[in-house]
Amino acid sequence: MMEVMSAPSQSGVDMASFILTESHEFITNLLSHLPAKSLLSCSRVCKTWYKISQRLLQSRQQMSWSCVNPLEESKHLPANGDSLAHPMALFEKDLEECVKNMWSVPKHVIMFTEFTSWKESARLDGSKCDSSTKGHRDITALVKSQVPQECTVLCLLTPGTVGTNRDLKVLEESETEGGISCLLLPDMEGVRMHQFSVNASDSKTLKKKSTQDMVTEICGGAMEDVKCVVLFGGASPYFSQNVAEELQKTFHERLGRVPVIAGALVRTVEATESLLMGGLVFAGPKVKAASVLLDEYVNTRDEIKKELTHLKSLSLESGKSVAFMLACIGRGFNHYEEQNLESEVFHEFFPKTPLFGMFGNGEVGCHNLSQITKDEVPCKNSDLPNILHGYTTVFVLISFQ
Amino acid sequence: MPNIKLQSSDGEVFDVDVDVAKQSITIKTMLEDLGMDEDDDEAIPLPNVNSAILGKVLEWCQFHKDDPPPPEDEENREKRTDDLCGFDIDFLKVDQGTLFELILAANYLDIKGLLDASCKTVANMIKGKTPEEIRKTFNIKNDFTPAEEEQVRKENSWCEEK
Repeated sequence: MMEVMSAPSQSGVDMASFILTESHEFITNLLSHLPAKSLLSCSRVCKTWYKISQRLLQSRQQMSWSCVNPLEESKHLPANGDSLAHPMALFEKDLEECVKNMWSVPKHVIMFTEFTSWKESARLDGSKCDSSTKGHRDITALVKSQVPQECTVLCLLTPGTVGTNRDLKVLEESETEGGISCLLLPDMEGVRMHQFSVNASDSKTLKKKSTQDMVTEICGGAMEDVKCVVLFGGASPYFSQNVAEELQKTFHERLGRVPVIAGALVRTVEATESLLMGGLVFAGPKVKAASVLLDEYVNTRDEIKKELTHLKSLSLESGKSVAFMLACIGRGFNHYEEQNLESEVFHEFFPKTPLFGMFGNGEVGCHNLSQITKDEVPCKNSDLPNILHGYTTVFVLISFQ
Repeated sequence: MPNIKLQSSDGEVFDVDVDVAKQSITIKTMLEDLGMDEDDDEAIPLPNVNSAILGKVLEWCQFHKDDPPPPEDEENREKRTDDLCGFDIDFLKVDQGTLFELILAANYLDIKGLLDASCKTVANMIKGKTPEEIRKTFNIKNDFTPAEEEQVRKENSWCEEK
């Protein structure tokens, strides 16, 4: 028996090629073990593999993410200045790992980061880096080099980040610790995602346009199926706050209901260029979204629980849900005298949902559970809830199932 | 423990523990549905498997006889390929011909665990390879026309080549 095994049988090669071109069942089983990037290679092998790979990719709709919290991780490293402790290096490594194993092809990326280049990230922990070779590389370029060309990347520079590790075990808030939190979203059936952006010259033309046109532009199509708008304002906070309020009003006037509108003011917003404002719209029949607002009076674990119970009661969580936490820089440790409290309670309530977010300089959002509870929306515009806040935390839960 | 007899395509008879053999759903079904008696002296013919491969398959079944039943496949869930046990890794370190004969046998005998392990092994051989390397490794014919190939290359440029 050993003889047969060790002797390379000539017919074996034929058998391999026979099975691998004729047995659709086996090829499907085989290819179903491969991550998206390998599947794309496989789809270029031959016609049969092309068909099977494409079908597999279409049936998969899994998000992935890459998050680092250098201060936390450097605790586990020897104190001899290991270059891995460098935030950007940590992120580069983690993102590479994430992309290599990603199950679906990413179409939209949204990331929260406390720095945008090697140079800047070096300042955070005082560690040196060879800026002559790496200093020019910014973080948006790094992400773009890893994802497909047609994938959009929205990069938000913030004073703090909230992220989830890949096995969904640990959620971490980073308050000026050099954190990065990056979410990669694939195409999903029944879901329309649209990244919108407003740069300085757009803003002038936007002002001249009717509000209706502006809203259509932001939604990237029909307003009717929009469930959630996540928006971030950079250089010109008043502009983004105005847009947020206009959105709320226009939806209310036109449709008699308001989707979840949530967001925050950050240091800078960047996509293909530096933006005044940018964000993501989630629309389509499979999307459901809800948001809650934790105001300044929410001071303890129990009070957080009380607010998140409203969100939990909707049973929105699924294997295909994602959440955003948009908090004021004054909250977190300063507010609770305990780190990670809000994200910890969230994780307790929603163990299957990855959480991404930030600490910033002003929040946009309100209690909005109307897509599930079908609560009455106020008739008058003036009765709409205030959506511009400070010293609050907004939680947004989006389900794609 | 009762034994049964299995006969390979080239006529060799293997005397096997029933519980070991029953990991093959094909054999299990034969025993249960077709009313084959466990005490029967007659060997079950397996015309699609030769003695070398059947011997290997039974070696695998012997090692895995106390495994819990494999979990139901969750549609489209991420499937790992780095979770093969040490035994399987070594067991499947065989020439490509043997590997694919094992795949055919596992398929015919319906042994999910062995089929999965061999699939993972082949999947690991594919990972990190360019389309041309994959074709070469498994002797697969490129049946795209040059124009089609260019189109498919464009569509799928985000792959491991760069």
